[in-house]
Amino acid sequence: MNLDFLSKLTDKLSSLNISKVSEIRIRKGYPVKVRLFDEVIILNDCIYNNEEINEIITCITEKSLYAYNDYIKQGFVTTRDGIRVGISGECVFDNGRIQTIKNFSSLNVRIPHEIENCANLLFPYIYNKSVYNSLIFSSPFKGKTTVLKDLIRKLNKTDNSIFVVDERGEFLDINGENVDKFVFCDKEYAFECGIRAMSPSIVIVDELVSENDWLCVEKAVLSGVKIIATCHAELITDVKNKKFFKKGIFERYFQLDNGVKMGVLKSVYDKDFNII
Amino acid sequence: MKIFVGILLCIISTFIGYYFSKKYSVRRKFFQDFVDFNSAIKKEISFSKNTLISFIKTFENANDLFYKNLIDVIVNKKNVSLEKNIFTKQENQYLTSYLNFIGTSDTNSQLNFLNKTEKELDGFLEESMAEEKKCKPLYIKIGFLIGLIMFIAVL
Repeated sequence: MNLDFLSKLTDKLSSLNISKVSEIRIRKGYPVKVRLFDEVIILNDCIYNNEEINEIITCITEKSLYAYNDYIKQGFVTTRDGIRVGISGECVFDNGRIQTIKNFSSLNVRIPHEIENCANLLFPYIYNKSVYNSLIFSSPFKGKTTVLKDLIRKLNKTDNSIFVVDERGEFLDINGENVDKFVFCDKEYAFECGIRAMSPSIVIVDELVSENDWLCVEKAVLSGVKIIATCHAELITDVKNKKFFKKGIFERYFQLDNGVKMGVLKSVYDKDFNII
Repeated sequence: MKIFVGILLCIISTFIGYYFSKKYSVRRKFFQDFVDFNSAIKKEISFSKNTLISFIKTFENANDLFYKNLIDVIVNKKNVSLEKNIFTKQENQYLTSYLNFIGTSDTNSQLNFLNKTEKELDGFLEESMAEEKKCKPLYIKIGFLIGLIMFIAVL
């Protein structure tokens, strides 16, 4: 994994076990925090200033901020290795619409991890001759994307054609003979054109948030495509209370555990929210 | 023998005149390449939106002074190195700040900057073309005349 853009931290990170690092938080003027799976390490002698944070962004964007501006506006950039870097700073608006973010003040580098077979427990509930429309939910940072990645690998072995809506480039490393992807593409476009173009039998989509996201899923299900999606919610009641959620779209709900370990299945619910 | 030496001196002197006039051609070519690149990067930023480095690498085989500096600064992270007897300190700084700014902001800011630069570069190019037109033949003529004087002196 290429972390060259964090050259100032290279020595520190090499002394840690990089395979356990899940997140690096860089805030202007404060010590860097490195989150491992089970602890947080504060690097008191590693403090970034404004210029150094801008330098990281310049490095990630290959000195081409204009080419990444659509992602920057959404608050993240993704490196070629699929490392998602969340950014915050001063938002520049014009006519009520965001133009860009400048003077970056914080970065959240999320190191992706492959946990092989973490979807083993879910898989039989999702795929049993045919696929159930499924929603995987948990609080942020509990392994929803990791589980999705493993599910794609498993579904790839079945004879279904899978279409991945990859808005943030997090599935760049997931490929397979039955896998098609729209990368760095908003959900509305991906659902409309991807389904028409690729005729998938299963659509995989990460993080349903806006009304449009939920509508896209509803339309896809009504057109006969199977959906596996994720969203942020701690409990099943939180899912039910979501403003744009509609009962009847999903046939299975999977709650991931909120514990330290990522991608652990806690409960499975059927379409009427009864525990299976 | 004297005629042969005289002709030789005349040729050498004309060649020296030509050699000194070359800097005007180098300047003109440099600004011509600068204008062309500025126009190309504008199109790139407006439409293709490839990364700057991948775009600049398409010029990797160009040996011209401008492209050599472009690749040195952007890809190899070196400093601008323009010959001091051909380019002024201000021109050196101008290229440095240009290369430092491209790619570092959003599309609108980049296009505003490149449009502004385009006008300035047109001025530089016109000036260098006028200089070349005026000074290049002058240097060659002076070289030839000095050669002719030497030729007469030898005879």
